[in-house]
Amino acid sequence: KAKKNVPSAIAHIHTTFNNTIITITDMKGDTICWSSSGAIGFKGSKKNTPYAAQLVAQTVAKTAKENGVKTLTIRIKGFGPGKDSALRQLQASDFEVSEIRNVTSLPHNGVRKPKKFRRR
Amino acid sequence: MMNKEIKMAKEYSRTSRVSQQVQKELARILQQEVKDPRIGMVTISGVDITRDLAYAKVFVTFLTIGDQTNEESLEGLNSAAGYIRRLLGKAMRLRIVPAVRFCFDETLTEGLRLSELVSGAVKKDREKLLASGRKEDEDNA
Repeated sequence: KAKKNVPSAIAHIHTTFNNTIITITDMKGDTICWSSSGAIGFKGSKKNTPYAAQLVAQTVAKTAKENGVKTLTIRIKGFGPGKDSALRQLQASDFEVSEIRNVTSLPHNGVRKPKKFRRR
Repeated sequence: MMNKEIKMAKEYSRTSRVSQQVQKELARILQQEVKDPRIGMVTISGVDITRDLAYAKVFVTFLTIGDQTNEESLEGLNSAAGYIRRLLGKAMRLRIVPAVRFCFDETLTEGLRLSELVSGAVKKDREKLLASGRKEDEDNA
């Protein structure tokens, strides 16, 4: 694959209670590289651990550097336990972190939830 | 068959199921409902609940911004513990809502530090091996 030379990129850290996915895109939103706990080799309940998130961040950081990424804007989405360790690992991977933003989507009391989530 | 059933029950006991659910609800509550300027971005790394489900120890890590410190953030969380417990009671259908106590989780930063130390040591070893391999080649030549 041809290496893209992108000095500034956005890291989307999407954490759920089952998995952690990190996608690096350029400032427009086109994907440069991505990885997830499952892609690394973890299965089942091990995918949502902070250690798995750390390894995902390491993998993605390595590929991003090969594509010339130097500055990162970080966007965090979700409530999962992997976000902190992924964030720290990205910071420790010699990137210049320009911004950290929480973009977890929240409804302004939107659609009606299924019965299971409407107990009280 | 009986032993297998007992083992399955122990591995996925009621306390572990409740603690997982408490973790999910607390993560949502801390992000959406608690707006204390002392508290940075909170990540819940684990929840330990007593067998009678009366007390819960919540392990947290913080992403502090500016003047915020981990101690201040922890103090802010523990001062809001009663309010958080009330919100937890509304979110979960439990006979007894556990009393929540927040503790700072140091294993994350320690783990990162150790991981970096190990990677550094492995890298140095590789470099030494390469250097000794090159030296042997030069001597043989």
